[in-house]
Amino acid sequence: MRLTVNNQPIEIGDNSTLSCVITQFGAGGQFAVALNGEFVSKQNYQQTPVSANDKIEILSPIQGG
Amino acid sequence: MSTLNIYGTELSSRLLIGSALYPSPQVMKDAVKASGSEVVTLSLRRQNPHEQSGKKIWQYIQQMGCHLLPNTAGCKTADEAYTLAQMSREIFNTDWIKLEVIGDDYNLQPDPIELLKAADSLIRAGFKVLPYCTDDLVLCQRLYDLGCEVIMPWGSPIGTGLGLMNAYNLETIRVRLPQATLIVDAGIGRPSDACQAMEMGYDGILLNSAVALADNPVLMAGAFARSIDAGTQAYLAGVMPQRQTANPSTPTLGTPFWHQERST
Repeated sequence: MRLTVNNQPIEIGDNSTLSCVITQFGAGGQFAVALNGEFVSKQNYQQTPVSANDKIEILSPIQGG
Repeated sequence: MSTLNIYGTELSSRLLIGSALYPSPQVMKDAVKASGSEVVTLSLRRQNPHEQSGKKIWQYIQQMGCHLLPNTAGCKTADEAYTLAQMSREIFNTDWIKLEVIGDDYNLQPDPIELLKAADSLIRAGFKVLPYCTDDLVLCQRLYDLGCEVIMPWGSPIGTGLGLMNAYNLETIRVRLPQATLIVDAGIGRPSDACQAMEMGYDGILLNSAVALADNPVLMAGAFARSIDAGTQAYLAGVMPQRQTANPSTPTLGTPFWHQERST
């Protein structure tokens, strides 16, 4: 199935979890995740299923004002 | 010595400083040190696994040992800000959030309606909210009534360096909300702008561009630190009242060469 991570399309197998998506994306270092605009805490990545057309945001620290 | 109180945390510096726009991470680090600030703002953006430059910035910020104040820059709705604040809390391990909800892209003016909604939700979720807002008295009152102990009206739009565009509004907010911790956030360009706000009785200054975009950010950071100290001490000392007519400071009694018949 196809979904987007940080506005980029990715293909992932059926019955995948958020944890699978994060691994396939290659996220590293400090990051936090939102699924369809809702925050998902780290301890829930493995239990959170994803669906086709989901929109996932993986964010990391940057400088800011 | 007077301190800045952010939700019960006492800070010796009244300057909060941004981490963006510096010529290099090292200059940022040196400028923050020169500013004496104990609070550094930062943000979150989409991760690119092939781009590692963000990691270096994050390492520098961590090394500084300051309190972290994540912002919600880029958010345009209360829902976006709420989600971004939750993500920030997990990454930075802090309940502090500099709440930005922008309503207009041209001047980056906060959306007061969405700002109030976001502040309400975040306070209910246990955040310590520092809202960036316009210099509107009623909006500031509403934010305070919701439970925002710290309120941050703008001096002028972000990144303009125009200083305090409406000193009357800012002074009115100070007078009407004596219990709130008030910080001027955005628009500061010169150390004298910061000093002016502190002379009004503001509790602190949050700035970024004014230091980062100076020809010498490290030197400018020190200038701001001293201007904020000067303004704070002037406020505590009590500025003399203004008068519309001249009043000699040298005693007039015994004025030399003065004669009754020549006086007018």
